[in-house]
Amino acid sequence: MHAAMIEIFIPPLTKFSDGVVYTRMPKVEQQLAELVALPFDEIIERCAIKNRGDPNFILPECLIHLIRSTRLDNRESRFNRLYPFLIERAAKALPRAERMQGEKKFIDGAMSDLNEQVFHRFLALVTLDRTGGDKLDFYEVHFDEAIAKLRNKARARIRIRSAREMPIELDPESGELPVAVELGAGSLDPPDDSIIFDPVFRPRLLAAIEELPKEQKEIIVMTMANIQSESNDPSIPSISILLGCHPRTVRNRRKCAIATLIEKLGLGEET
Amino acid sequence: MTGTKPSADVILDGFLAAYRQDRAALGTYCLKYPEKTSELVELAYELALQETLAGDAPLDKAAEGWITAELGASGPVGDPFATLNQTGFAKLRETMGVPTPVLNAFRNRLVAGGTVPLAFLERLADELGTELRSLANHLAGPPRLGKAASFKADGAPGAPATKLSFAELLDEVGVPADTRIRLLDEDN
Repeated sequence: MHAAMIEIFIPPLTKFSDGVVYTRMPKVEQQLAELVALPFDEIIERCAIKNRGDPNFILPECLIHLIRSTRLDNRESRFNRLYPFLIERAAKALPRAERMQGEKKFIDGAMSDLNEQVFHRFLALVTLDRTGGDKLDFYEVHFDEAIAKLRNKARARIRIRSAREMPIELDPESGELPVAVELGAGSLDPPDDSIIFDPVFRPRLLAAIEELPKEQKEIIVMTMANIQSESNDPSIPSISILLGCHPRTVRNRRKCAIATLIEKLGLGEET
Repeated sequence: MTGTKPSADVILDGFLAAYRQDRAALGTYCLKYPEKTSELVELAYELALQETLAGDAPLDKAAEGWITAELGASGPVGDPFATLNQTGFAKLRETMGVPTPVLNAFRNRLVAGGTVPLAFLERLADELGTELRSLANHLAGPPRLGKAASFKADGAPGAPATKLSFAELLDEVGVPADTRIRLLDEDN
């Protein structure tokens, strides 16, 4: 029984930010302390729990710690038993590329390709981490966010490759969209930005936001984060200040973006 | 460590942790790091996507396939340096801006891959015409003895038992201070 006990020393993380070492969330530390007392077989049983709402669900931050704690093992047996659960957690942190719309299943090929790149990059990081270093430290702090960061980097690499495919050219002087484009998108109508906050539209909305020109996407994402459009106080974050453009430009771009989103969501006729 | 400029990675980690607590972090981080605004916005979008489409929902068929393939993978790990001739090695050394012993340490798996900045590993993998994963797999193998080392040894030659960290390797090789800083920079 004693031999089957997992010997986990919970060392602090080693990566620094501003002179302060990265720290795990209290609930992660708490669960790790609890796991220390369990036999390894029981940990494996708990790893199989997939529902995040289950009180015995092992947090992915803890699972990554468990995997990392096998770095000094002489054999791979503990690593090999934990690994399948870890890579499933990584896959689960990726947005699904398959969606049901009514009876039909849609597959977002671009998203699936991106996910595949991220998945394999994560595997590479796990392999690298077996020899030491702090590359997975942040995964013990916020696992899902770390995966989101991987997706973001992969997306940036793709964007660099396709930088020439700028769908809409902005006026080099004003930084605004050509009038014809704004009119075509119905920007003269008052925008109804409630769709941005409506969870019913969220999955399709996010896909539509991704297709917006960068300048419009930035404004919509900032709006989703409740950043105000303009402010007279430069110390208060406003979209106008953060993007370095005139408040009128912010308004125009938002109008145009919302009109495009409404159209893409098939709500044009109803408004 | 205090007072040094945080790497891009550290800034993004800080943002992700703060944004989890309060969406207002997007504004404050953009204000504090204006050069990172686009990246921070993209990350906020990515988190919205994850919040909406990830989690407990069943995995895609494709993702199930990647997992199955990964768990079923077996066989020897390829050596990304295997086809590199003398000319190719010299060119690689020049492109990477490192002395020969550093590249030899990578070829002979004497360096702990986890201690090497990702940017360096990615460039090396690109130059070798391979994927990061393949390079990582190669580096994960046990240290091996270089071809030239065998005849120099007094006794029976053997590969070192432990690997060096990248910083230790650079110190041992004696690279100039400015090169060392450049090579250890996570953002380069």
